[in-house]
Amino acid sequence: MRVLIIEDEKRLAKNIAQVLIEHEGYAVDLSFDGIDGLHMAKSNSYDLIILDLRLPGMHGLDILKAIRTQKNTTPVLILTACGTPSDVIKGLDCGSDDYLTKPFDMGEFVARCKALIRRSYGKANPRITIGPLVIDTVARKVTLNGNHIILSPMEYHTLEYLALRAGQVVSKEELLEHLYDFNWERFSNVIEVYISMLRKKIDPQKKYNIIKTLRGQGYLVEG
Amino acid sequence: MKLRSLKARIGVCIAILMLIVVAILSGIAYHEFKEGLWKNMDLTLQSDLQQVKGLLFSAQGSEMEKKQELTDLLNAQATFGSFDYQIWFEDHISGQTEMYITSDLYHAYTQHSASAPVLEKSVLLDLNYNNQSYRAIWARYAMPHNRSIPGQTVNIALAISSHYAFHEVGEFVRVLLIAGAIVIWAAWGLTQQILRWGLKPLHSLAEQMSHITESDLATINPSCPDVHLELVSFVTSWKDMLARLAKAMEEQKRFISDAAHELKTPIALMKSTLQLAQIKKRDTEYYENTIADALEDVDRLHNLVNQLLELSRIESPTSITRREWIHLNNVIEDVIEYHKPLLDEKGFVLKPDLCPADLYGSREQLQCLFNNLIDNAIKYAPPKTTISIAMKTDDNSVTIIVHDEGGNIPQEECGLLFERFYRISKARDRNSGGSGLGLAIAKEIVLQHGGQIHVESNHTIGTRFIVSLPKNTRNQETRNAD
Repeated sequence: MRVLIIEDEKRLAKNIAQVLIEHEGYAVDLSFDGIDGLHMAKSNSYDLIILDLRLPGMHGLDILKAIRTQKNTTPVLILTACGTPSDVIKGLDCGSDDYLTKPFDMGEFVARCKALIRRSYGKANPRITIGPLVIDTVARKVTLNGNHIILSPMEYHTLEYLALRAGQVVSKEELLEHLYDFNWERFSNVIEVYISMLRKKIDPQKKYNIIKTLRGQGYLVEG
Repeated sequence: MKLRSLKARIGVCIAILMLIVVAILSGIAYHEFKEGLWKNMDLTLQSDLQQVKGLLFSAQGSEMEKKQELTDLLNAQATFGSFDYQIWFEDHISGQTEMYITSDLYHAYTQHSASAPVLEKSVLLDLNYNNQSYRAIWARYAMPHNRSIPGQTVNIALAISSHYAFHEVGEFVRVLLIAGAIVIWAAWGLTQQILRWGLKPLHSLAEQMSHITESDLATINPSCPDVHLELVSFVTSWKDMLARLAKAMEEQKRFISDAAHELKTPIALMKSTLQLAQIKKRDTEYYENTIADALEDVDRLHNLVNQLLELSRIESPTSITRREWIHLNNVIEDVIEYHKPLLDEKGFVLKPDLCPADLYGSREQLQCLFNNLIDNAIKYAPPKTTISIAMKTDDNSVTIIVHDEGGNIPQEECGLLFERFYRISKARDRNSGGSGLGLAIAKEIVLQHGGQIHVESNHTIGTRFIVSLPKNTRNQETRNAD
């Protein structure tokens, strides 16, 4: 999952980036001012945007409106010190999906981020079931017919993303975009490597064919 | 103070006024009425006297007939009530008084008298007899002299009961009292009604005022449809006051919300830093960095709280700041000395150009003012440049210019710079450590000293903060007194 954090308090931005990377293994991009943040939100596709309101250059709500007028449906979590009910209502009415006031609890923050991403892919249950495969997105555990499968973080993220978008064809470029941050050197064969590793681990006998390859289009997991 | 009803007071005043007017008018009316009645009785008595006299002194008729006639005459007159008479002779020689006319005397008189009797005296008087009051006339006639009847006098007294007149007067007084009471009562009632009508808009305002709370102060628009001309200025100033209150409340709210925002930010930072360290086991270096970061946040909070307190202290009208004559150049030198280490660390060159100037003011506040200005220059000017402090003085004021080579403040933001928690958009980098209150405090101090502060900034001249402070103590005293 790839997250954009627009927050002018640099240390706070780095702290929440760190917790998202360490805890969830997300790819995180940082922006410290409004104009740059809006540009990044427009030019990349993110799974979640964390937005401060009082930003230099451009107010957070203006960024939000600009994103929403572009028909961008990326979930947005407003993270701000302005916590009066009218502020919260204004924020949600401008098109944000959640509102968290500073100071906040890191655990709660991460849980909200996960819920927002899950919801944005139309999944209510944190356990995603694909035939015999069950992915527990909270404990980040994968089981096949009840047997625990040990995956590397990148393998897990690839599988989770494909599972969240079950029923849709996901291209290699999309996978790259959603699993790696801005600074990553992008080689699409990285994805091929992870997919083949995944297939070996979850279905060594090639009985279920969970991850299908559609030549020239991408990968498909049947829901 | 004892509360008294305006209605009652005005009512009582009007009632007393009406009472006096009614009393005077009634007094005049009573007097005239009584006078008229008495005059009427007197006229009756006088005309009766003439008749009695005519009858008495006429030559015709016997004594009995005359008595009868007299009785008839007087009975006919007794319309006002009982009527009585008495006629008697006085013999000056014997000193005897004869009641009633004796036949002899009468004849002697009527036969021999050559001329008419002369009226000696006539008196009108009020009598009280047997608990009855009378109006009476007493006439004394001197009989003409002749031989057979030596100097004699005839007295005629007629009395008419004044009971009826008194009754009439009593009736009149009753009518006057009732009318007076009605007039006073009507005046009281009318006054109350007029006052009630006059005060109605005030009641409606009071009713509206009682519903105003702090939250709807800004939205309230009191309506007074039929306000009287005399109350227009009151209603207008009341509305103005509401608007001013709403504005002040709004400013206060904004300040509190800004302050809360600024306080929450370092707390959020500290909390996130500490939680991050707690999430999993880290190495010693990580913990050391975390502690350093958290301490930095605590310092920032401390600084912010201090500045908030400073601001409220300066602003408070009851603040007691000791004012004295101070050498302003010495104050600025002290401040420069204090900043020396930081200036050296960042590679700034500070060029002071001071001249001696004395000023009446608060040493502590003026130190704070220049501290904040130099702090500001250090924060926002590019490192390793020159900061200069120039000072000019004339008879009335001292001007101090703090100049740095920053010059990145947009023209339209120059005025906003002194607003609380305002940071110009480009420089709004929290890592500079500013609380956003320094310049607001500076402005407040300058205002407290009766001076002015403004800023000029562009790329060619850099940024210049110009402070001018008056030397005149009287201005400051009056400002303090305000």
